[in-house]
Amino acid sequence: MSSIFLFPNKFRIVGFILFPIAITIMVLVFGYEYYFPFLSYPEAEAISILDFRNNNLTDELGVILTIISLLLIAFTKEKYEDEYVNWVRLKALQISVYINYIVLIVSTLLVYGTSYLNILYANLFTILIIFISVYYYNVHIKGHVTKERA
Amino acid sequence: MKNSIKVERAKKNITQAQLAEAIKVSRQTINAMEAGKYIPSTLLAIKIARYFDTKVEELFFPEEEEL
Repeated sequence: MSSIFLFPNKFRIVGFILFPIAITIMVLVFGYEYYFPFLSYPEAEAISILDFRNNNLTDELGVILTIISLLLIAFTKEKYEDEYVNWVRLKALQISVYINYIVLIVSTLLVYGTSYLNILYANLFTILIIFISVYYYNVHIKGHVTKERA
Repeated sequence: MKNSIKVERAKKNITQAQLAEAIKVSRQTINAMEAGKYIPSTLLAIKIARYFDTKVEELFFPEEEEL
């Protein structure tokens, strides 16, 4: 049975290793405004349509690493990959999209100003995070608990 | 949709794990099918039927309102 591309099972561990690193970089950048000096480039090269005078790549690195690590955790093959696990995966994806946007609607109504921007920013990752929680709960926690009733 | 996988399994005296291995799916899949939580694809249904030496129609029976 053909299905949509998934990363090989080994990549999951890579995701789990990368994720704490990515989160550390994110906390350093957005919590403590620390930027790695070696990721700086001269001001003159900062050409972009919206030039925010950001001439350091640490924040970009943090965001990209976070997304990649979450993707690796979310979309790797199971050891026993079959049609059922694929069905569980797609269902979890649908549930997470719903939850994500319900939360977004509620926060649009309740949150204003810069905190709203922060919520939008967090929204870059929430679909994946909710998906991972729902999927892992169904496959790895609930799945292992289901005892065989012979 | 109901199915008689559990009954067939009992007749053959095999566990969920043994059936899972024979038709190359996870034990969780067998468990979900027996519990009626998951309706297998045509391909998997045929595999199970062949394994039990029976017909798909004798293994899976939909409720009247589902048809």
